[in-house]
Amino acid sequence: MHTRRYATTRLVVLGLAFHAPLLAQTRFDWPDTTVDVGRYTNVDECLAATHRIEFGIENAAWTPVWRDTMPDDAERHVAPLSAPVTQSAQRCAARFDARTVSLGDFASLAKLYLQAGRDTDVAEILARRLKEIGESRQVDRAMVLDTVFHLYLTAQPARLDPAERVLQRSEWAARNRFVRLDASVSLAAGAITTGDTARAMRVGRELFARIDSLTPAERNSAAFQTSSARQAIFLFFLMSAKDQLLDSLHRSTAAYLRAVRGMWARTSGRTPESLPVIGAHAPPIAGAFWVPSDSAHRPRPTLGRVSLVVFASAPSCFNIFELTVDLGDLSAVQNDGGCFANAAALHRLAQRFPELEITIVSRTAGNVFGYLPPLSPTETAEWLERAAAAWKLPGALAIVAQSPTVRLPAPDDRIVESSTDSNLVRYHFGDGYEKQELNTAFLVDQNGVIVWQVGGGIGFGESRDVFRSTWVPMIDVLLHRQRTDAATPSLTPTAEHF
Amino acid sequence: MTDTREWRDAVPRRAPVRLVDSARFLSKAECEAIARRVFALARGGGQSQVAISSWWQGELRWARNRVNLASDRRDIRVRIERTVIDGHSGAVTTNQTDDASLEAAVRAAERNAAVRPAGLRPVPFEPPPVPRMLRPTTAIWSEATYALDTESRSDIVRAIIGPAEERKMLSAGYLEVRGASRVTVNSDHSTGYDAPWDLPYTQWTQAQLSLTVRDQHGTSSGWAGLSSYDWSAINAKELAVRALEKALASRDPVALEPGRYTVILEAQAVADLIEIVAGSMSRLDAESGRGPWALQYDEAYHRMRTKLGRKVVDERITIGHDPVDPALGLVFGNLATGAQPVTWIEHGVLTNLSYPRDYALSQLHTDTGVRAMAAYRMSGGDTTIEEMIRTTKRGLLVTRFSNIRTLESGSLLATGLTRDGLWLIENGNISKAVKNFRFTESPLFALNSLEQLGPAERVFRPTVVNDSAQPLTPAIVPPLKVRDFSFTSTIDAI
Repeated sequence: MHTRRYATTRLVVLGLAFHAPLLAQTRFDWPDTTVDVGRYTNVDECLAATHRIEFGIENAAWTPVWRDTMPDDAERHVAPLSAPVTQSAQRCAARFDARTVSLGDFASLAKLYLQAGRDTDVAEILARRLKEIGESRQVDRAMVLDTVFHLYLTAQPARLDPAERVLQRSEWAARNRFVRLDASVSLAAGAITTGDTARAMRVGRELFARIDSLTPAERNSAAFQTSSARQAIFLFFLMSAKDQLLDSLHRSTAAYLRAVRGMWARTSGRTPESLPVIGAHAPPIAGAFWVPSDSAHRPRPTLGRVSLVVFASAPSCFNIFELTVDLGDLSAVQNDGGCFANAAALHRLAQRFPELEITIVSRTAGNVFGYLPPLSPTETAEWLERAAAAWKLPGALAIVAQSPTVRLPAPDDRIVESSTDSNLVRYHFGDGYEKQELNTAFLVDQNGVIVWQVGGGIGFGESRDVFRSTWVPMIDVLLHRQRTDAATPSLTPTAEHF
Repeated sequence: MTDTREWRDAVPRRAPVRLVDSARFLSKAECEAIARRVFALARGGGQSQVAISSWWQGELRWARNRVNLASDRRDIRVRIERTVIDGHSGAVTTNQTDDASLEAAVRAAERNAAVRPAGLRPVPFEPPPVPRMLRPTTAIWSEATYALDTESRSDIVRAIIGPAEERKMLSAGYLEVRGASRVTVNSDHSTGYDAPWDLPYTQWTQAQLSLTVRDQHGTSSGWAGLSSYDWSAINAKELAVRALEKALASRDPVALEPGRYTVILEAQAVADLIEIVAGSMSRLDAESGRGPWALQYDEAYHRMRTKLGRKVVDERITIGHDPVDPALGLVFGNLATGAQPVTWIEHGVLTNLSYPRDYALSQLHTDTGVRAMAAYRMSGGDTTIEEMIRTTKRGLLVTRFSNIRTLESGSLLATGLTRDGLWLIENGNISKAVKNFRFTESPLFALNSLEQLGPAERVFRPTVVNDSAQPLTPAIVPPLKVRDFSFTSTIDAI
């Protein structure tokens, strides 16, 4: 009897829970993650729901295919929101009557209305909000307009008409001039992106007027000179006058440079000649190692050929041990992938323009892929050659032999590269030019003159839209000139040509 | 209708399988046999890597003086990685080691490798292997731990519960023992060299015991706990007595005004606080301008400078880890972070921050990283807690902290709660129990406001992850007397 009780005790000890009341136990139920707009009671919940749907759709579209290897889809800028997002927004926003809804969540509410396609209700709550603020508080009214303006611009598709109407309101004058300039640039950029050429021209004329109305003090102020607006305005001028510029370029590089420098002078208030980089002669690229090796037989960029010189000098450019970025997140690839992201664009260019000479510039830095040093420059170059082959980089790869030389004092001990890359030194264009060794690219005409640059320097930006709308037509024009000149032997390309 | 008794009788009777009777995890020979089978199953060239871990876990949990869980569990994990095409790899994990399952896993890993997007790893590359090094061998295996079977565990817990029950108090706690092994082998590095991530066969034990004693009305609480690879280093009776005494002494707490107090932090409280510091010891973070160890941007070298080499805490503080320290045991990382001793803070000066091997190769031109501050020994002094109390005019004695959260990563400002025993010290004596406080303080501030240090001792720092073969992370820290420690509100928790 005693043994039996002991055995029972053992069983109990070995057994499972016997003390907890069984009724208290419930089975785990997976939380309900489906979108049920009927359950949502406020604007934030509605926006969260539409965001989830949008994210899910985007995720499904991006995950299986890495779209950077595909041609850019220009239509995406004018495409409406997908139907599930709009429908959910409409159902969720149905409970919010624009005439009576509380304006505590004004910005969120406006965003939700735009997602639901209820643009008139955005105007309604804007009018109510402005009435609430009163006529006397002009700055507060302008702030509200600023909010709505940016909501219009960032909506999908962008609502350019109401955005422009907001900019024309008298309250807008209460804002800082540079802020207003920024807003006009944003509107112009939106017009260019969506292919609304007429609006781009109209806003462009206004921008010219605004720029011209700046006083010398305003023009020379740090606020303006360092503002993104100034750079953006210059870029906008170039893009809005793209057809004229391309026409000039078609005629000659000299005509093109006169036009660009004129816009630069008008934008910056400086002399036309102070425009950095563009118009400079592209120095020859040096390389201790060339891939393929016969590329070293003549100096690059080659006189008589349209060239693209791409700097991929930063060690990180080829030191990507293994990309772990999320394939669905293109921005992560562009930020972290560095030259890797460039490779796809270069492939597309090389396929489209077989006559284009592409030179990629790199250097040895003592290690590759975090390889155990010391590596001789030759060994490093061999690794770079393997990387270039694996990425199928088009054109020629020039590699400068260089080893890191500086070790920071202990206990830091980091190896810091010395900045003596001869190619970087040659491609340094004065004090106003900030060199950027990663992903900086130069478009060089057949006479060796730099006509365009992306990355670093004067901050043209590197978006694919800019790339598509500027580089591709310019290369097209330059190659056409190259072909024409080749067919006309009497026209030997010389520096005097422009 | 079938008679269930008849049905039961029809089933051939077998002796019940008890998890503790047979080998509870895989031996070195068994692991090698599995790896050889995987290598033989590989198709299409390339290389194979097999990581095998296996573990056994015996546990006993009790609450309100009654056992509510007693179990023995075990599992294995075989991770097969095949690198076949252009350096692309695919991996599959299984716990089935029969021929058919292993072959299916190898094929699945090869399929995974094949469908990886082209270009992700552009060239077949891996960092070079390193010469196989002798690893320090320290006592991380305890027969006392491995022998603590179900019956022994129940006897121990019965002895723990008894005294609390006699005093009409409620005891709750958890006792766990583990035995485990791990190995990682690569088909390309069979002799003489290791891949950085290779791990020789290692087996170890670990044990932990923690308990809380409360009164019937839920107004007082006492806690005690300890963890070690060696069960014989854990005195269950002593812990039971300490928790009971703390519970009895913390009855009828009074509420004090929040504010800055001199505090005597028992070793467990110090360990709880240092946990935040341990998590911040990243060189990459510091050089990215994040965390408390970033200094300023160096315009000359275009690099963010760190506080390495600078005094950051009281000069009596040294924090390091030596794999041959018998009290810590070997923290077996892979070769990527080496097996040599490391000191993160030496006499108050920041001397090391952790970084991976990739960083070491590319930035420092060395071949091993510095491991994270997972296990460590912190220097102490010779002042006993009794002496600290005797020399305190007005202060608080803290048993431990819980729910600690970092509020600001730059200063490591954190907040958390005192728990399971907080007392007021007046004129050199403990005068009364105090209701718990929320603190809002930086551990770095505390480590710069030291008055006295006690002898360093082992604390409760068990492996957090359940059901796996995770390495030990023991810590040895001293009790500290700290001035001006900031408490910001009272809380109702006990």
